[in-house]
Amino acid sequence: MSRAAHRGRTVQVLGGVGVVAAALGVTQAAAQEVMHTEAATMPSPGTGVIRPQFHVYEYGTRPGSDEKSVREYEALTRISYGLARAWAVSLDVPVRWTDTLMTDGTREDDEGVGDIDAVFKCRVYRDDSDPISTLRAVVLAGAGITSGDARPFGSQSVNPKIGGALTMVRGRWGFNQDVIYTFNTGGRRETNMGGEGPDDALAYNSAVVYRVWPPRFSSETHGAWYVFGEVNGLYETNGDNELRFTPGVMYEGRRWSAEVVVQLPLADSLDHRPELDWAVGGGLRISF
Amino acid sequence: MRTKQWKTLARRGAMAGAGLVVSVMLLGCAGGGQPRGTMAEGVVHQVTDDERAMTRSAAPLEWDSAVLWVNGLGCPQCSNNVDRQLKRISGVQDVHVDLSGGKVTARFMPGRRPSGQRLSQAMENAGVTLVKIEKGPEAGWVGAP
Repeated sequence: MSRAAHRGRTVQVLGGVGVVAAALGVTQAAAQEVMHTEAATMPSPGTGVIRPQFHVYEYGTRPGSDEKSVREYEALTRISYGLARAWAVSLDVPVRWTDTLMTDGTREDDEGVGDIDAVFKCRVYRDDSDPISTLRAVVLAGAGITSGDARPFGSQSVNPKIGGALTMVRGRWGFNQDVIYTFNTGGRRETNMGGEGPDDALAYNSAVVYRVWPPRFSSETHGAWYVFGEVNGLYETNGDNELRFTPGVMYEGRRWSAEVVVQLPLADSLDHRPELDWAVGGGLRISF
Repeated sequence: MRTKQWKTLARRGAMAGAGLVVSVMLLGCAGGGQPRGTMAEGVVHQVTDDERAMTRSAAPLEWDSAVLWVNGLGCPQCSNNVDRQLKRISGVQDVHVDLSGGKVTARFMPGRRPSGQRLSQAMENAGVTLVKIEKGPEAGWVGAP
């Protein structure tokens, strides 16, 4: 397929996602969710959340290859829907472009649709101790399923995943923790940016959220500003391990939210994939 | 060289930030054992056995509006969950959510009052806990303060 045809297909996918978003209308979502850490919150039955995000990642040299640096652009759309009380499902659809600088100074670019993550969320614990505070836990189970796109980012496989997440809200503070293990059955080492190669992956993320404004909710509160910090970890069974720090700002209204983050490398031991130099991201959460 | 300096600086900044995140998490967890309600901006619901029974009763409420006191209403978007689940109940005409104290006021259509049990189910669906139900305002409407 020609490059122009590739671009056309990507535009079609993005257009399709946009049309779905528009057709769904627009309304409610779940709170205390940050960009990269799962939360033990979910849409209530019969409602949903569409969450378009855009990320730019700058990576360094890929070990054992001619790639000097890689810049990746990712348009990620997550749709979550409340199936029943304490049950929800989410779909993540990533569309990616990469611009790779080779050691000989030439450039290569790729684009494609990555694996679609389909994950069920089941709340197994909830303790609402006062009007604001809560402690919740969920079990996550699903799979990364190939989108069918034969271009570089599709694994052409089904990769089961299982994990859990915990959310605690105490007044102006919120805490999220997740652990998710992915049993990778396919994937390519040459395009793996973390967790998408043939080796199994364990993601472990922590987040702290602080409500900056308003300091106290009132009967007229319709929105709130939050700052948050995440520590995002990813271990692969090939021995690669990486920690990233992700500070961000979020505005949460009653029917929509917006968030922006920066992501920086914290510590890593990577022999099979490039290390992150920096990343930025932004996104919306719109309820329907 | 400049890239390397930037990376070192970024890594140190990230290290400091991550340290802050971990410290705050530890402090937050340590505070988890405090008495219930003490961190909810000064509001604690006191519930009698009769009020608790009302949330389980299948009998229609006797009022045209009710105040539902709920726990776990920690954010603006949670209030939207509550609003939408309540409005699915036949007979619920208007809903107003006051985040400051977990106070939800619902007005019912004449002759179509829901039961406490049905309201409690709606709150469960919304992901919050209904603590008690009280008689709502008789005149005017709190939704338009």
